[in-house]
Amino acid sequence: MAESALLALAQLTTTGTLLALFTGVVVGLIVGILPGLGGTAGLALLLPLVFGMDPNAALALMIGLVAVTTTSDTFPAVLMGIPGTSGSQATVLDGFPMTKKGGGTRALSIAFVSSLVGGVFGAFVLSFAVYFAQPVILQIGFGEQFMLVILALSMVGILTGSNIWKGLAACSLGLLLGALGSAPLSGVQRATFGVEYLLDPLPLVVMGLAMFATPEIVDLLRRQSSISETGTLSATGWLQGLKDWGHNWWLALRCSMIGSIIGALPGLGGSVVDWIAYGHAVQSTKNRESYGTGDPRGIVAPESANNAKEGGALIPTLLLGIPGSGSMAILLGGLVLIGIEPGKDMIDNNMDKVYLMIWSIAAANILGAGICFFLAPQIARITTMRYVLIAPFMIGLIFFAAFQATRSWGDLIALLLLSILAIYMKRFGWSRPALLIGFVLSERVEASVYQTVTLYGITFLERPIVLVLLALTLTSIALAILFKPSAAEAVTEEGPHTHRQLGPQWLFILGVIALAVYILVDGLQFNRLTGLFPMVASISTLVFLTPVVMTMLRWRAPSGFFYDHERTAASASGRSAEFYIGMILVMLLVSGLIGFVLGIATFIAFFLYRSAGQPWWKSVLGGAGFVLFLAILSDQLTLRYPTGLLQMFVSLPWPLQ
Amino acid sequence: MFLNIKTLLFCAAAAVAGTAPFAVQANDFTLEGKTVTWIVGFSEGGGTDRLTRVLQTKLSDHLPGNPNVIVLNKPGGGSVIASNDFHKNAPADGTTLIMASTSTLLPVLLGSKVAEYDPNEWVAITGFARGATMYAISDELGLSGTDMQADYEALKSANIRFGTETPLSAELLDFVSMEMLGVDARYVFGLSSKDAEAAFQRAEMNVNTDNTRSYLKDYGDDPKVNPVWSYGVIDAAGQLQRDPDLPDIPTFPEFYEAVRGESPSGTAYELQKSLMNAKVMLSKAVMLPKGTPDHIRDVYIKALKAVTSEPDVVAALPREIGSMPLNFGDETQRAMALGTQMAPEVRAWAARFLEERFDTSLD
Repeated sequence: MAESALLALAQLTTTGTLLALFTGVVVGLIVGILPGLGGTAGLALLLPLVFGMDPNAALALMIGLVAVTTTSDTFPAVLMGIPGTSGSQATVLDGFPMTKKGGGTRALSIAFVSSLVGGVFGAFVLSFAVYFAQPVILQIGFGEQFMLVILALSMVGILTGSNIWKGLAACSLGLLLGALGSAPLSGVQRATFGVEYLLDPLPLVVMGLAMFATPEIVDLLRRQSSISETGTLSATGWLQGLKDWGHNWWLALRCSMIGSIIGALPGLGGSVVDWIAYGHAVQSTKNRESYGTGDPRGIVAPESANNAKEGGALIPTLLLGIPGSGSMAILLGGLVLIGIEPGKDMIDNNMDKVYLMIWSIAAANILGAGICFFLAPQIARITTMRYVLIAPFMIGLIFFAAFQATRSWGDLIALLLLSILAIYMKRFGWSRPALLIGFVLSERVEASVYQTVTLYGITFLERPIVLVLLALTLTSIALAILFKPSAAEAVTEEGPHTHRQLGPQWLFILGVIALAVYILVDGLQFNRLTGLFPMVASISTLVFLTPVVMTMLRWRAPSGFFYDHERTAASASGRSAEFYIGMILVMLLVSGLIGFVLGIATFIAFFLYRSAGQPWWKSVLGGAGFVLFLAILSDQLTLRYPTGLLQMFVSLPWPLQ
Repeated sequence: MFLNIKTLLFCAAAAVAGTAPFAVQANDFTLEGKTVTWIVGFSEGGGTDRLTRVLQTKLSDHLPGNPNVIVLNKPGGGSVIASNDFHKNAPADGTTLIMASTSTLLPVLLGSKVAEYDPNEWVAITGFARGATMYAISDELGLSGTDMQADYEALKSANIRFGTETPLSAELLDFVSMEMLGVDARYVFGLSSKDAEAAFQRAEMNVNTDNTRSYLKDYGDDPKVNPVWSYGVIDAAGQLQRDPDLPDIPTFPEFYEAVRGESPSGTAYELQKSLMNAKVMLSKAVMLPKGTPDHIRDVYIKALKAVTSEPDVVAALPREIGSMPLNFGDETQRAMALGTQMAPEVRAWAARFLEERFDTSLD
């Protein structure tokens, strides 16, 4: 062991390999910081280069890239509330509120030190796990995976928001939205509304952007301030962040452990890791009120977990040749290309390669976090700018990000529609994290229930690991109930909980009911393999909505069931949320005519001129700047952008196509 | 009917193209300064994407004018969305090509409504055959691997657990093959090939199907896991031969003949052969859009022949797809026709089989 480890260290510290690692880290940081792109896109770009390269250098290059994308994706998540990858969704919950209080640098600092320690911890676990993890992983069968999914789903209990029924309904709605499109058990198209885009389930990244990014953009536009509400940025934030991490080192280690375990086990996949870690943080603290308002623990937990996850996901990839995540799948492909065949053979004969990977993960995490630390204070300054100046670029960025999901117009339309849903969920006090957890787990719930029942019936409960997981799940639910925060805010006649003017809330709920009923009816026409799950999800949505509807019908006093944020907030811009939704719609319509590149450029220029009051030449320059940004990405990352009617008739020069 | 008219038109077009004198000489065609977009209907990192990127590195060197070659991933519906778009919109000027795979052909073969394309109209350049085999945990099922008749009896009485994606996926080939033999199994759906493989490693499943290459990598030296049969490969003369990577393993028809005393025939076997063509012979295929002139096709065939002879690519191909011979041009086009068409009575059989066995409608 020590011999291979030292040999690997010697291999890593040659100039060529170090240079490759550094290149990998830099590319990884860049694709990570760009919303919508991540490890998978980055690795795909490197594959042709890797082909024919020295194996050690190729390994360092690929690992360097994969290891750090979850470090740099924190920038847009924390500073702008844009979760550019599925791994940064939970970070937004507390990271962005902290930024809004002027703590941008502090939030980044917490995140980077958490990422660093989490990543190194993942490498550390990996270095032992290669010797004994195989039998453990092979114990995780369908029954165990099913219980893991249920355990993850139970995290919803503590993320339901102020009203438990609306929270559970949101989670069911998430399950429901996850069930649109091709059924995982039969491949049959269900609830597609006749749209080709829905042949596949809605992409998670689009869902994450819609749930968290758009509502914040609209909110900030209405408040007309900078992202940092104070307009300042604490100069000693990075030091404060280090201290915050120090206070929570034990939580960080626990979450790193969770991250590497979940990453290694089959059944859940990497995209839930950060939610489980976040849920664990909330569960294990008594004073929960500060979560969601910029609590450092809400950043430590997901950021520790999602970097540790990569080391964990490497375990099944190396031991069994079965990738533990999307980026691991492509890494596996890359390994095969350079002639390394993961599996038992590699552990027996190529241990130095395994250690080279482990060292690379550790080194990449340190290097990546170091670079990010260095850049953080500069980049964080963006939060002190007037938001109207950044907003149009943010809108361009989230639509760019969404388009990377399947590279079709459907991505843009889905983002708009789901954003509208999210804006009203926010306004009416529906938990968006609850919806997202339901959505992420939807397919796994459907498949694992069916597979477990088909293979084992009820006897899966006789398996020991299942029982342990069951006990954990029950504990998790009990904790959620026991430590339920006492009613945080008073329900008054004047506040958002008023029983007057329920019209908008009625409209929203009726919309949700209509969707659930539509999918219920749609499910009736299929066999059980296709139709059962969406029907169950619809029915549970309707059941959880019943108390809400009953209260709205009967109750004539302020109540926790009622919530309308519009009753408190005054819009500084004098504009309604609907105005901004309309504006985004117009942007998409224009893009439909002249293509996304020209459309978004026109939108940015027009917005800067009219809404931000910039001189015309600056506005045009802003639009042109974004075109340049898109052009560089198109060139470097071989991307293409949505085209409009214009492009069908006229062939335009690159990058306006 | 629908297919037949299209095929007829296609044949007519091919005949016209064949007899007409070449208007443009091959050596006039250049892609200098152009960008060639190679569409992949799957996400980055899958098998189809990887193979495309291996070939992409060398393609530019062998095309006239050395154009910039990029790979564009447009995932959705198992390549159906990208294929629909390619069929309707791709320009036939040699600047756009697609990497088709078995998943591209299956919906067409099965007559799925979502597939609004006919790959028979596309112009085939290269087909990559990739062997496939059905393997099992031998001692659990009581298979000796030496006596086919005894193995057959064991299979019929065993409690077979088989994890697959959906009833309408490429594993339909295995379902039909087992049905022909009267072998029953408990099918568990909703498992990607990666998930099914993992479940097989845990012994929760005891039968699995995979490409030969993956089988050999994972279980080649594991005495407990052995192939029951392979699906073989069709040679240039149109005859089914044993899988070159599994020379000692009987092909499915050999196994059938040994245990049933007669060679396979009938509608079920017609379906089995179509599915075998789609799954094995055209595991991946490089295609140009419909209406692409012959001189451009020839340039690409020449380029792909050169690319697949590059030492780096030659070294990488066995790791990606195994060691089956590649097919080019007309040969690929023929396999395409076989892998995407079903006679009405075969289709009726398939529909009834899916309905009775899996409660799944073919429409």
